[in-house]
Amino acid sequence: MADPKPTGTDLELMQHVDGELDEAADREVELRIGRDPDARAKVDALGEVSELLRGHLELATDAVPARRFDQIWREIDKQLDLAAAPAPAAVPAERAASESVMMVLPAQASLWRRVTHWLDRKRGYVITAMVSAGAVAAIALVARPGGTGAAPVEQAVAHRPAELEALDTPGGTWTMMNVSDEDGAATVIWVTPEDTVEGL
Amino acid sequence: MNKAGQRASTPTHAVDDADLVLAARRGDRDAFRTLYERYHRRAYTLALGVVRSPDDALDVVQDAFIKAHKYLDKFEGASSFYTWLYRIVMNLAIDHLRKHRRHKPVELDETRLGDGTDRAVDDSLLPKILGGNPGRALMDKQIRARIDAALETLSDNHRAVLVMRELEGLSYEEMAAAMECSKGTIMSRLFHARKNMQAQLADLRGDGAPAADSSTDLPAAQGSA
Amino acid sequence: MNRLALAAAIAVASLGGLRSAVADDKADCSFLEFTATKGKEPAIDPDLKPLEKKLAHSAPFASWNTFRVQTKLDKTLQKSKAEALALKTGTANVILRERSAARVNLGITLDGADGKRVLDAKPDFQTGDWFFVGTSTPNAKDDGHFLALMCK
Repeated sequence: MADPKPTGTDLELMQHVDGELDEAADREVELRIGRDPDARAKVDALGEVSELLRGHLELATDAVPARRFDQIWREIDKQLDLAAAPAPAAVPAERAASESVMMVLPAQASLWRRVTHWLDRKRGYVITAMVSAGAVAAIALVARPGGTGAAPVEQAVAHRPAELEALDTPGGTWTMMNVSDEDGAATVIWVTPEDTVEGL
Repeated sequence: MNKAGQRASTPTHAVDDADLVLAARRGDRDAFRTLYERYHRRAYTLALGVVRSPDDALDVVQDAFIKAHKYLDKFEGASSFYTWLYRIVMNLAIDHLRKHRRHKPVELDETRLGDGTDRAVDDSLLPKILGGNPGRALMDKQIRARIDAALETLSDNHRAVLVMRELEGLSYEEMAAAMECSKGTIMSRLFHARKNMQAQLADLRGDGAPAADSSTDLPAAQGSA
Repeated sequence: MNRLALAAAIAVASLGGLRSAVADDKADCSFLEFTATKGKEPAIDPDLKPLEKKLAHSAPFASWNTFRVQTKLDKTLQKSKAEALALKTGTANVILRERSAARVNLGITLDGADGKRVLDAKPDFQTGDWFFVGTSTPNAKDDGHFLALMCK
């Protein structure tokens, strides 16, 4: 349903506040505001709503921790990498949409896509690692220290951050953060209870 | 700055946005990251104003930057990168609302506001409501909840123009381009959005607390506390 | 780092692990229940020292400066066998669902002091990495209450 057309004078007050009037019209409105307390009150009220709304939303934005936006960037970065990768197997749209911020354990198709993408990026290093592993195996065969029978070789494994096969936080919302430093990696799930008003 | 003291649409930085866009087009991820760092909070504030949910607003921001990167080649520089980005944010935010159908897809019935008292029927703005101290009012959680509830009652389009105007100080022309409608439609939506917000908050007294009884007689303007 | 040096580093690291055999039906896990508050002076429980850098600098811990252990447990989880963890605040149950040499896949539930379910998760993460679950404390919403776990 279309809005009913606003009447002239109050609309002009709004345009005046928004700086949308030409010079002549603006001067006229200024004169009117000077003469008419009601017009002045309406102009002040427009400013009041503006300040309230802006302040309210900006406070809500300030309440979002920087780490959250960092997390968003990491996801953007990852998505841009995936977009730049050579044509992978198609991921169903529903799964692609749901991967936005959460880390979920991917089904076979998207896991393979991530692996192939990773291999493409790290091809040189992967080959290096394979050569090294071959050298280790060769040394192991030659050296053959005493002890129990052959044990599986624990090769260097590329680090993957935590993934969530499922996550439910009844009565709250959750945020996932991956942190990493020289002491190792960690994953944090922070649950915000439902009755918490964070910023809003 | 306009008369309401709102910031201008175009911020200034040491490295121009246009240079960053050029670099990002060439594959410089750091350049794109700089654009993200510059505008992600403001994009979030805008998205939050429209979609209302913090998590959804973050999703919108993420999608907006991914989309912006994808279409960087199509950004011709007719508007600032900033304006172009916010157009993407607004479109995604409104799309998000449509998909999730949280809000009525039609405009709010202008003749039926609040409790339907006569004050809402005429087409005029309302005078001052909070005694001239909005900053202090925002310290009150109750008032913030009221603002939130008032935003919730607006239609998607009304909320979108209100948020674009009050947060970003976009001109009517810029908003019309962002929402792909006429300037007249923008003006009408904005006018009614502001009027509706005033009506929703009209029963608050100068000290910020709700009045004991609602009245069509609005409080007289008071000096700041 | 050039490729030759990297190859050498990988070879050395691999040799170090040559003789280790990882059982696929159990995992040795450490659990730390701790509180996070804002105190006048920074303070960290000695049992949390291995996590000190993360607690001091990383989100979300950087919001607080005082970290006190409430419960410390070491358990060997058997595959498909749930273990109840007696926490100071609330309760937790953990189950080892799967593991490989490098990763563990767990089921974790966490209930608050009021008995209400806070979290039900199935994380899959690298051995040696820490996995934290945190929420605000019921009577002090600015404080944090965490359960951290690490498995080998």
